[in-house]
Amino acid sequence: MQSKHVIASVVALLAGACVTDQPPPLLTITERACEATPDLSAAHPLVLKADSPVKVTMDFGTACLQPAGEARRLYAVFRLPASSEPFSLSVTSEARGLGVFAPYLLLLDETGAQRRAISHDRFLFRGNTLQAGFRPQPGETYLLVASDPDVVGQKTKGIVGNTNMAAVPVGTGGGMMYIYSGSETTRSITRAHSGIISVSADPLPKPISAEGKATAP
Amino acid sequence: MRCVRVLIAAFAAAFLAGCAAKPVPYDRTTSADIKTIGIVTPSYPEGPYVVLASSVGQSLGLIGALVDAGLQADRESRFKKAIAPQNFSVNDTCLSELKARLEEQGYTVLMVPQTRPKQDFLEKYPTDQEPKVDAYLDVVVNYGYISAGIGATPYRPTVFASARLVKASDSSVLMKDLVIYNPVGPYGVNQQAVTIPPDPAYSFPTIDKLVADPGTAVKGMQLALQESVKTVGQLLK
Repeated sequence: MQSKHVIASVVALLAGACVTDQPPPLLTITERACEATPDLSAAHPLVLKADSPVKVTMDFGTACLQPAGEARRLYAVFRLPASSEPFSLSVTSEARGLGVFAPYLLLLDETGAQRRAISHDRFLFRGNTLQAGFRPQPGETYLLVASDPDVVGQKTKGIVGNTNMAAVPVGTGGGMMYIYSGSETTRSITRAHSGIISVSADPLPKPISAEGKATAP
Repeated sequence: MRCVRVLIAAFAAAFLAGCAAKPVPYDRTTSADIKTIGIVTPSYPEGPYVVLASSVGQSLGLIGALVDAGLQADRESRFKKAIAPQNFSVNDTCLSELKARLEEQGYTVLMVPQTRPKQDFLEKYPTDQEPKVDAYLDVVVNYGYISAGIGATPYRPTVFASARLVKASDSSVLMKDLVIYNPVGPYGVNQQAVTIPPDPAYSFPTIDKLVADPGTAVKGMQLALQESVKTVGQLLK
């Protein structure tokens, strides 16, 4: 019983350390000097390959954009892979501590002109990440991922159920018994200018075959 | 019946594991030709699950698993009996919400009655459907109540809704995803499923409290199902 309490305490301490080590969410960037147009030369190239995301950390040092008459936002640009086959793009905003980057997307052509926008409300929570997917159209060459100043600062709260396992020594022969229990926490996450963005370009699945089975790409 | 329940639980676990594959996003801009969607009769289990996500039985090997399966069967039997007078229909709840959400987005929606040999996506879609549809929406639903387990955690409604949109003309997969209402354990951090936190208004500290208030219990399940299929509709926005 004492061992179980020691193990539980160590696990709690480590879990707490993981959260408190992260920087707080970045909610204001008013003091940043920003460009009026994005720098396409700094675009991160994407590779059309399953499970090969490009990750970018968005923080106070990230490039800043302020189009005329609009609010400041942090951004990163990605260059879409050239492909004659259709593919999908997935943009994931991973939580960093108690904050998550609040993205919206712009698809740009080769000259940087806007082709279409994908608003923040297209992003849905998957666990503690925000994610949206879409399919590029001909002529769309760059993907600009920027923080949406209209939603930065908004909090989302929700109950999350957890299952826990504690290993307890049994007897003197080194045996262990695993005790399973449940708990609940309330997770609060704040949309911010900071976070981690992950973008991947994935082949589309093949059509369902004549035998009726969906086949992987 | 106990053996069947153990098998059903095992199948559900395997099915859910398979459905945790990477989602296929839908993009209406590149699918402008999809105007009429045929909703095939969704797949449902025999009745609502009442699951304890962690238990003493998990520490006791096969015997513990069999005991747990028996306890789960008992909980579900009691719950099913308690809610019978409520005239709850999972099919009516899901279809009315799904149809409304899709029509709100400008789709024409038709119902496509289909029988299923197992609780999974259809292997083939009708080739002679009249009136014609541009794509078939296939939904597999598991639902009920779940408690995270020992540790004073209440029973809350839960739904797993797997959805797939298949183009009628060439059977290409236009969208595939999983929506989980009230994810517990690893599903709470699963990046492959859209997750919806539970409404705190619907919670029952014990199984006895759950079966003692069937009206509220059914309302909780209805809300969970509606929010889940509403999210499926959002994936086709």
